This record gives sequence, C-alpha cells and structure tokens, in this order.
Amino acid sequence: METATINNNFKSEEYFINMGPQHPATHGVLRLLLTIDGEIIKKVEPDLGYIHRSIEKMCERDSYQQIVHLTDRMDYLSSHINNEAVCLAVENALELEVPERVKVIRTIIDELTRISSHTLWWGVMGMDVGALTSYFYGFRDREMINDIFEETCGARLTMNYNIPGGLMQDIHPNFVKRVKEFIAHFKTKLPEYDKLLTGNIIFQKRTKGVGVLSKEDAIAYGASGPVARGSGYSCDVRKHHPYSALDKVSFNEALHTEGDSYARYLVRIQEMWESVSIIEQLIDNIPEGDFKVATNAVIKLPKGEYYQKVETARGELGVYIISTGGKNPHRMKFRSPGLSNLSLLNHITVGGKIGDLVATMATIDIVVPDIDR
Amino acid sequence: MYSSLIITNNIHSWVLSLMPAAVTGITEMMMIAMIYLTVFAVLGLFLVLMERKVAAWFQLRIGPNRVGFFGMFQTIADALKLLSKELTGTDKADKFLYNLAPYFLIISSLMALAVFPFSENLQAFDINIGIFFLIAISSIGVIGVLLGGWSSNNKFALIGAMRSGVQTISYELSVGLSLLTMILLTGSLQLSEIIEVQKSGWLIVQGHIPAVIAFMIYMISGTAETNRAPFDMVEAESELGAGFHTEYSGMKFAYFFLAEFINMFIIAAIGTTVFFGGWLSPFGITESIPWLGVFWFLLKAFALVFLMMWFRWTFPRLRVDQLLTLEWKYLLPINLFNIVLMAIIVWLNFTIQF
Amino acid sequence: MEKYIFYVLALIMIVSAIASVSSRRMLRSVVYLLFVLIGIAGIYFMADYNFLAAIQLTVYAGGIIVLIIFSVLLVHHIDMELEVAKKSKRIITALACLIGLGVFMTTIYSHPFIETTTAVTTTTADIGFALLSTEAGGFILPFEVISILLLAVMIGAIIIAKGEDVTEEPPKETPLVKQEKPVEKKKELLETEVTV
Repeated sequence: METATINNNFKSEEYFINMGPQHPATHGVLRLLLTIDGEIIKKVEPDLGYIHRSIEKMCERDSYQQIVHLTDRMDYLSSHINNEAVCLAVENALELEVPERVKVIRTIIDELTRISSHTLWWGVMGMDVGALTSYFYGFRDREMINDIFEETCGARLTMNYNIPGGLMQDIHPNFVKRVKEFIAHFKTKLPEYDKLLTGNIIFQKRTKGVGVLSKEDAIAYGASGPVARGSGYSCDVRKHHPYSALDKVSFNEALHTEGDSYARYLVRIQEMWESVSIIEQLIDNIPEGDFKVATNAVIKLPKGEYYQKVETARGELGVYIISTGGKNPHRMKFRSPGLSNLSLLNHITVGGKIGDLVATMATIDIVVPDIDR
Repeated sequence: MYSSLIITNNIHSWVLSLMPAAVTGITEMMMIAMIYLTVFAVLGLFLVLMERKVAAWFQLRIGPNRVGFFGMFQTIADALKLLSKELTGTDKADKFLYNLAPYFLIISSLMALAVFPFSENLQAFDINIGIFFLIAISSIGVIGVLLGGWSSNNKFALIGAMRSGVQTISYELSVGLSLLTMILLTGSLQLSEIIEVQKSGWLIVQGHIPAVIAFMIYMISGTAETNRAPFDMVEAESELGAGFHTEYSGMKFAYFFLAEFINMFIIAAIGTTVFFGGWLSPFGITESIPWLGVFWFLLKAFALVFLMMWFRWTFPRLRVDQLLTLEWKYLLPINLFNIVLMAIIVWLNFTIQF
Repeated sequence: MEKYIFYVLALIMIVSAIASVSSRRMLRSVVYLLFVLIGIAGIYFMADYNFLAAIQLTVYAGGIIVLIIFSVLLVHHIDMELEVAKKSKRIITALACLIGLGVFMTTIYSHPFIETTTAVTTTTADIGFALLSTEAGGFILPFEVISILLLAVMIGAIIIAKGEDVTEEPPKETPLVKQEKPVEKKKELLETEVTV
C-alpha cells in the first residue's frame, strides 16, 4: 500500500500503538509506546520498571557474600560475569590477591557464559526476523554449556560460583574434558550459523542499512558492547582494562564500522569465535593451587568509593560501591549496559518501518531485568 | 482393471433406478459435493498434522506423538477443542459480513478442488477453460480476507487485511503468467488435455529452460499468494496483532486456518498438474493401472507441499515493501521475458519430447 | 432442469440487486452487488460460454469489486449509515422504475426471438484467432487501441497516486542523525583518541 495515499487520507491520524509489556519481540517485560504514521515510525518511548526488584536497595542491607547472589539475577544471561564484577570490586578494595588458578578458571567460565549468551541471542534474532528454526539450533548448543555448568557450579542459569576471595568449590574433574569436547563440537556449528542466517539474502536485506548508529552517536549515548563496536567505537573492557586472566591471552577485538544491524550481528558472531580462541588458549594450562583465599567471615570494606568494570555479553557493566566501613555497603550502584543501549532506540529507529524496529531491537540485545534491576 | 468410468456409470444407473431423471441430477450433484467436502476436511486435517511434524523435524524435536499412533488424531483433538470455544464477537462489528467472510475462502477453495484430475476420468468438472477457471476462482478469495478484516471493527485487523489483500492480488499476476508460459506448450487450457500432452514427457522436461524458470517463479508466487512464510508479514506473531483474523475465535478461526492449508494444497496440485504430469507415473511405469494415478498425484502434490513448508521453516520474513518490490520490479519482467522465450522455443520446435 | 437453475439464479440476482440499492450500509451494498455479478457469471456458465463467465469472475468480481472494497475501506467508518431519501422522492423513483420495466417488457415480448437449433460452443482458440486476425471481422485494431488505453490509464494512476508533495525517495534507510550537535560537543573527545 503506497504510504503516500494513506498519508493523504490519514494526515491528522497518527496511530499510537503499545508494544508489550507482554510481546514476543521485546525480550522481556518492556513496554514500547510507538507513534506510527502508516508504516513509518515517528517516536519510540520505552516504558521501564515492570521488573524492578529494588536490587540496589537490597544490597544496602545484605553482606557482601549475599550481594553476589543478587547480582546474577540482573542480566541472567551473563550471570557469572555479574558475580565476578562484585567479587573483583570487593577483592580490589580489600587488596586481596587471588591465586592464578582462580583467575584462569574465572576467565574460562566467563567466556563460556559469553558464548551461551550469544547463542541464545542468535536463536532469538533469527526468530524475530522470521526464521523460526534458528531458535532451536541456538538452544541446542546452549544446552551443552548448561550441562557443563550444572556439573561444576551446581546451577544452569544463576551460577553463584564466584565468592569474594575465589570460587565456591573447585572445578569438577570432568570440567576440562567436557569443555574441550564442547569446543570441538562448537567449532563445527558456527559455520552452520553462517550458512543459515549470515549468508541468507533475505536476512541481509532485513538488516543491512537498518538502524544505523554513527560512531559519534554511540559515544554520545554511552553505548557499549557489541552495539558500540558495530559502529567502530573500540570499547572492549577486556582489552582496555583487563581483569582476571585476560592479560595473559591474546585475542582480537571485533570491530565493524558500518553501524547498521548487520554490522552488530557480525560483531557478535566474531565475538563467539574470539571466545572460543580464548578458551582454547587457557583450557590446557590451568595452574594448580588453591581455589580460594581465606577472608573474614564478615567482610568489611574500608571507608571509600570503589569502582570495577567488566565486559558482560551486553556491554560494559560497572559496579560502584560506597562504603562507610560497616559490613553492608552504604550505597551500591550498577551501571547497566542495557539502559544506555536502550536509550538510543528512539534515535536510530525513527523514520524506519515497524519491521525494522523488530530487527534493530534484536541486534541491540537487551535483557530487561538488567535495565530495571 | 476397473476404470473409473465403469464405477460412475454403475452408480448413475443405480440412482436412476431409485428416482426420476430430474431428481437424479440433483442427487448426484449432492453426492459429489459431499465427497468433496469430506476430501476437504480430511486433507485439512492431514495437512495440519504434516506441518507440525515437518516443523518438528526441522527443529530437532519430535512433534505431536501422543494422540493416536504417530500423532494422527492430533488435529481431530484440536478441532474438537476449537468447536468447544466460545464464539466471541466485537460490539459494533457488522454481523452479516463478519459471518460471511470465511465462506468466501472456503467456497473458492472447494470450487478449485473440484477441477483437478485425480486419475483418468476421475474428475468432477472437466471444464474447457480449466486453468483460467482456477485463476478466476482465486480472485474471489481476496474478498473474503478484506471483508474479514473490515467487519472486525479493529484498526489493526483492517490494516492487516489490506496488506494481505494487496499481496494476494499482486502475486496472482505472476501465478497466472507463469502458468500461461506452460500453456504455450500444451495448446489447450483444459486440465485433462494438459495431462494428455504430458504423456510424451512431463512439461517441465519438455520446456527445459523456460519451464524451469516458470516453475521457480510459480513456487515463489504461489507461496506469496497464500500468505505463507517467507511472505507472512501480515500474520507474523512478532508484529502487531495477528492480521485480519484477530477477532475470529473458535470454529470461524478454524475456517480461515483450514482454508489457508487447502489453498497451499491447491497451489501444489496446480503445480503438479501443469509442471509434473498430474497423475501420470514417471516413465509410464504403471500405465496399465489407472487407479494408481491417485497415488502418484498425491505423492507429487505432497512433495510440493513439503517444499512450501521447507520455505516456511528456513527463511526469515520479507518486509512488506520488499515483498511488493520483488513482485513488481523483478518477478513480473522476468515472467514476461520468459513467455517470449518459451514462445520462441515452441515456434522453433526446440522442445524435448519422448 | 436448466429452467429451474435459471429461475433460482434470477431470483438471487433480483433480490441482491434490490438489497444493494436499498441497503444503508456501504459495504453491504457492495457485497450484494458482488452476488449479482456472480449470478451473471452463473448465467454465462449456463449458456455454455465458459470463457466469458471466467472473465466475468476475474474482471468484475475479482477486480472491480475488490477495487470498490478498497476505496470503501480507506474512507468509510464501520458505523456510517447512508441517508434515506424523502418519501415523495421514493414514490417518484418507484413509479419511474415501473414505467421503465413496462417499456422493457413490452419490447421483449413484442419481438419474435428465434431459437437456434445448432449451438456452437465458442472455444478459447476461436476467441484468440478472432482477437488477432487482420481480416474482415477481425478485432486486431480494437485490441491494440485498448492496450494503449490501458497503458495510459496505468501511467495516469501511478502519477496521481504519487501525489505532488511526496518526494520520489523511498523512506530513508540512512541515519537521521542530526550531525551538528553531538559532533560539536564531542569533537575534543574524538580528537584525543577515545578508548574509554
């Protein structure tokens, strides 16, 4: 239908549509208020807060070991990395040196978490643009990682494996063997992902030139993670401020400069390859040693302000602790990557069509509990 | 072996012995209508189950396997559930049109089913303009979609109906033109004649290059005309609403749903009749047993249906404007050029015949 | 047998035609008109002229009615009702229709119609030859003239539908970034090689 004709007849009628909070394409309970004119989007307003659980307020009454258990419910797809952020903040504040073994294991499990988050993202991305089968293929690979986690950490989604000072338990004896099997299996599956979606012309036409974000805007809006790296802004925290065992491995930072949805898609695919290479470098040489350092039963951080940033699968997560010397923090603030990434949704989708909005939301890849906390 | 003519003649003389000549005609028409309604219902049931099983196979899972052996009665269970649902209606909806809309689709599907030759002499309505009749009937289905969207008194259903209607009438053109390309080879529009011509080689072999191009265009346009993926932006769940049948529930929704599957089967059946030889066996293996023609026809039709299901579960969706661009800027010129190419090949006698 | 079918079809057509002109809802009268046209196609089928019947279905029922329905959908609202004429006007119109019907019937019944005993079915091949034949009685000239007319109509429709104030560009797929503000503020940031 020519939008010109509809424009002439419906000039004063701009539709106002509600997408969500329950909607298959918004990745969680997010309400989007769309003002559309025919097929063109005029304004997008996200309405947040449907899953706000006062995590930051709860942190003010919990001890630091308990806070770790709250953080993996924020961005549940990178739960291990969230836990690590708090543990690193506490360890740096106490000036505690964890053993090498802990650092290496933390990095390996980090990268496994990143792969599992990206495979879920890939499956859901295909489903959003209409290729309904990719969902199952992504989950099939994610199941293998979940099984490895269940054996070592005890849970599939909310791991709670990190504690301030090290790990809760040593890794299971099968861990190294299973991770190697998984890597061998996954390296044959990533080319399959390329065949199914990346090279498909319909998919390319749906994502190329859609939702373009320029580098200046990415910096201005505070975007991070694959969203910013798709626009050419080099912001990988693992490269610029390495933590745990990341200074011992060599990997490339995935960068593309076009800034459209296809570039963000390619960045995440390349990140999966890089994670595989990081795991391969570390899995054979896990140093022996303790799996934790003894800390006090009641941890009290010295008075001051502490900040730690890590790279989750969504982007840069920051943990900011203000401590007055007691056993609970005075204030705990999480800089969530999803909130900054979501704020540029209005900017990059105005002027496009509704189908473009769905494709763009899929490549921004937000997890709403991360935004609402 | 029994030819279908013997059986139909026997039935005719039996009915004639029961009642006077004038009433016999009407009674026989009702009997044939009943048979086709049954075929419609059973086909619909089977196709829905096939879709679910094929989707499960592509998605590395099993599909329905609880109700009956291999899940065979799953669709009957679904139909019973739909029958027991409350028939909701909107407040200011136009009741007459709201109830009338699904019937346009069902009637057009049934009329189209009636002209297919399932075997030699096993055809309900051998009209001399066979293919053209099928194209004419598909134009009536569009009206059902538009009326359904309008009478729901729902802004989004109306938008969905208009988009779906535009898509259908655009792709009808390509379907008609690609079928016309093959008519150049047969010289007649009558469906039984088309199959007669294919006794010396299936049309897709006789016409080699332009026939293959015509087949590809036909499959793309056929999938688009029945609003199936990858052209189903109109009823995509991750978009707004559910398209023109948002406000329909229970049995009326089942009508739309069934009609979509039967339309898919009709596209596949036209494809087998025109391109792949209908009820003829490959290389004439079972030519002496005409009854096996039904089996060959169904096998080929279901192979094409499987192809259309394969499309749905593999490809992402096209955006609405990309869809229309594809038709008007790409498929239509290729189609027209293909007709000229086929005309040249027929004129210079370059067709392959056995 | 054919008589009965004819009577049934005629009854359907008359009832639908009267309902079409007397209905107060726009889309319902369009649907009744559709029934009338399908009835006409039925009569063509009965007269053994299948090609014309299929054309009737394709062009009238499938083309013109769809066109009318689209225009009604775009402009009308579901509970808009058409106004009913005044009583005096209705009586005058009824009288005029009856007079017209009388003239019509007298003309038909006073003419002796000769029944053909040999009915020749017109096949599609015959129509095709007639359309393109250049001999006397051939229709090649009207055929070409009509195709030029259709071309002119299509071009005119496209130009009118585009409108004067709509530019030719498709909706922008490039960013609608207002490049001025962020770049001005952040220029120092960029020049000092931002790596966070």
